[in-house]
Amino acid sequence: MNKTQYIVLGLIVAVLIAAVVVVMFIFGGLGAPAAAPADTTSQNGLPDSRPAINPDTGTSLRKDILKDPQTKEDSNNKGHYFVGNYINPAVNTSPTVPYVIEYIAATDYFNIALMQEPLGSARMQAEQYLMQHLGITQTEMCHLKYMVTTPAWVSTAYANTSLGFSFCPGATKLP
Amino acid sequence: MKRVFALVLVVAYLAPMLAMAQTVPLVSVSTPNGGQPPNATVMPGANLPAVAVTFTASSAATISSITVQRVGSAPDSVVTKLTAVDTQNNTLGSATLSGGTATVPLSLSIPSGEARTVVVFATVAGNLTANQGQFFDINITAINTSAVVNGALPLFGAQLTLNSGVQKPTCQIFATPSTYTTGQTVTLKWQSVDATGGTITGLGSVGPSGQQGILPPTSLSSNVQTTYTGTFTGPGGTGTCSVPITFNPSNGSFVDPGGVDSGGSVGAPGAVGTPGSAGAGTVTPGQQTTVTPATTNGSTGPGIAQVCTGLNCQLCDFASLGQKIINFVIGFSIPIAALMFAWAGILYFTSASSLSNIERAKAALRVAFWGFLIAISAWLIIQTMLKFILNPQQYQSWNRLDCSKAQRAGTILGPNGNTTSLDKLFNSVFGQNGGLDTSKPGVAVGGYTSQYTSGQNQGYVGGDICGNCGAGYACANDGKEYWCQKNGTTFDPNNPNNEDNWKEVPGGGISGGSRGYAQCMTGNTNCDVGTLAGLGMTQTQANVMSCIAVTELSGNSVGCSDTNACGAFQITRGNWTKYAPSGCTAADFGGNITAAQNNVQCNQQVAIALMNANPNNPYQPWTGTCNSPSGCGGTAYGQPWNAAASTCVKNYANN
Repeated sequence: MNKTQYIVLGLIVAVLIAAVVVVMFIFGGLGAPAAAPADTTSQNGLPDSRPAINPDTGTSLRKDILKDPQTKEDSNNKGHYFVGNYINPAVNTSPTVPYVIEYIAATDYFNIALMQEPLGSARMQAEQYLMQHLGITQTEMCHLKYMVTTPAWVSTAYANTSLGFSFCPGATKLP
Repeated sequence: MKRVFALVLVVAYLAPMLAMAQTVPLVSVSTPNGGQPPNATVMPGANLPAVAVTFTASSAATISSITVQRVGSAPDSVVTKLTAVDTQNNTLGSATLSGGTATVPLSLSIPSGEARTVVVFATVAGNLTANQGQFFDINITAINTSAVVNGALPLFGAQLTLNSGVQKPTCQIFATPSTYTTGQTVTLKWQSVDATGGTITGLGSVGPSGQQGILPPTSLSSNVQTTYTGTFTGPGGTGTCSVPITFNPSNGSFVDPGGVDSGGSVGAPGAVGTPGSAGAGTVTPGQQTTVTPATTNGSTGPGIAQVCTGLNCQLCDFASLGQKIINFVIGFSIPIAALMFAWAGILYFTSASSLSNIERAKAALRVAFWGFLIAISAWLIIQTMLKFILNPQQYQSWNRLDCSKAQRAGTILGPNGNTTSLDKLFNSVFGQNGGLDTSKPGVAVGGYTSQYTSGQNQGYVGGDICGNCGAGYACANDGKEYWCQKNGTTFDPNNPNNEDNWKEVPGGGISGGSRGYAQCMTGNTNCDVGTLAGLGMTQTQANVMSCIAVTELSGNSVGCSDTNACGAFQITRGNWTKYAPSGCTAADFGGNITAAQNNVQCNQQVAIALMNANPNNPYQPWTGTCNSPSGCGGTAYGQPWNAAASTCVKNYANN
């Protein structure tokens, strides 16, 4: 090889090295900034109900239940929300819905009350609603901070028992 | 003449009687339409309906008193008071038994043609320890009135059986996980009924219920069990229970040198600490105690070596180690290659006519070129392999792996919730199954990582997802639920309530206690124990009332039953009117008492006021019985308002 050929070869190698370095930077390589944390501030000023990162998968985000059109704030108890079925706190009537889900934003807690027999059907409806409107899997549902119970005036046999979601470990079988 | 005289005599004889029939009222006595109060078991201090009577007057009459008689094995002393009330809950009079009888004053005026029902309540003594199992009836034997009484006496009342509330303590202990390795914390959780306290092996004195993390002994040979035994005592005696845990020695530790991607260096292995010993102490009833385990692993901060040990080491950890080394070598090769090229160039341009120098320059250039090309190619090949081998959640980018999302012991690695073939290969090569027990069908569903150590799934940290089914049972599932199935039997879906062959997962998935023990979960500020204690309730009261709130409205804040009782503690309108403090009255809510009842802060305050108004039995408003013969909404006459509330008192207040 003559001198010119060596110079050309040297330039090619230099370009290759530069290309490799650029590729490493582009594909999350050296010095690439870490992914920014998810935005947890709601546009409407209400607290965001989503955890920043789903603890189960590490990737997916739970839908914000406070932005769900069927979620209504309890006018009588600030920071408490009716998820799905609404109970008017100023009207004295027994709930006629299969379940009532109360969401307490401050503690990111879901309280599910089964209001009708058969309890198994009521629980299933509540599970379906929550899963659909939170956009999460059964496994992720089990990791929510939640409780499923029923009042004694609905079922004496199952009152005073944490029933759990049917697909979660330790759930109580229901009729 | 004789006939006339006889007629006069008959008239003279019957006239007063006829006159009396015209002036003396007639009162019929009968059992109320709803029947007599039901037979019941009586707890200490209870006030239960014992017998009832309905008076029907053909003309205005007054009943001055009734005489009752006690029969049965229980002595007079167990009945401290008999109280007669009408259907409007007005107290008509009270009396105490003496010699087996009592005269209860009524002074009950009954208008002509009307009926009145009177119920006699029996208040029993606060201590029935010596009367366990005895019973008594209160029968009405006489009606004291100026009226003529029509009807059969006596009227037999309910049979009331005494329950002293003193039972032999029972207890349960659960260990999670049931198999542990070196340095691993095991959580012991215990609960007891009818016990005031107890002791547990290695923990010392404990309360009736609680949980505590321990570091069990590790100086045992492989797969040796250690049994933790609890002995709980109470007024009724002593009860014992135990749980075995199995030691599975660790195979050592594995070092994951993290943090190179942020510019650090390969970290030094973290030291595996010496397990500490289990602590001993006293646990307050209902209080959860968390014990920080002794040092087990090295530091895990950014840029510092992360250590996985034994079962926790996964394929990702090994791959991560290789990745860090490769990154280091590649990064180091770039300046080396640059220096080699520079050296070759300098050598070439300064060689002039020296052929040997020119050849040396060419050789250096070739070595640098091929060496760097091989290094880059190897890097690309390895990265491509890792991308296909590893879980996408762990393969972050071309030079970065994130093992923080690796499913650790007892969990499943793989995007579809199944163990990947490479993980199985890894496990077989390294003799570790990651705690995955493939013999139990329930384990393969879902996947619970070690970060879930609180909340609903507390306790499911690897291993058997059922926790500890106990001898003779195995964890089972149908893809949706988990339960403990008796060995040699199968679950009958057509008869799900037959619990002969299966039982619930012990303590698993249950927050605040299992059946009969549930309390509002922490985070439910309507009624969790912390919130109620913060409002001034004692710890015991907070425990009981948190449980009662679950039974009343499932821990929700808004809702009314058909007796006009509303809110978290289902306070009735009558009680609200009587006990609502300023700021919580109907007037404070625009005249809407329901809105006031459904305000959770107000509901809590009125509940406390109700408790304070019943210092001898603060839970009576929730554990009492319906005393209206016409029934109370969905509750029949004589039945408890909320039987489950009594269970709360029994479980959390030991009475």
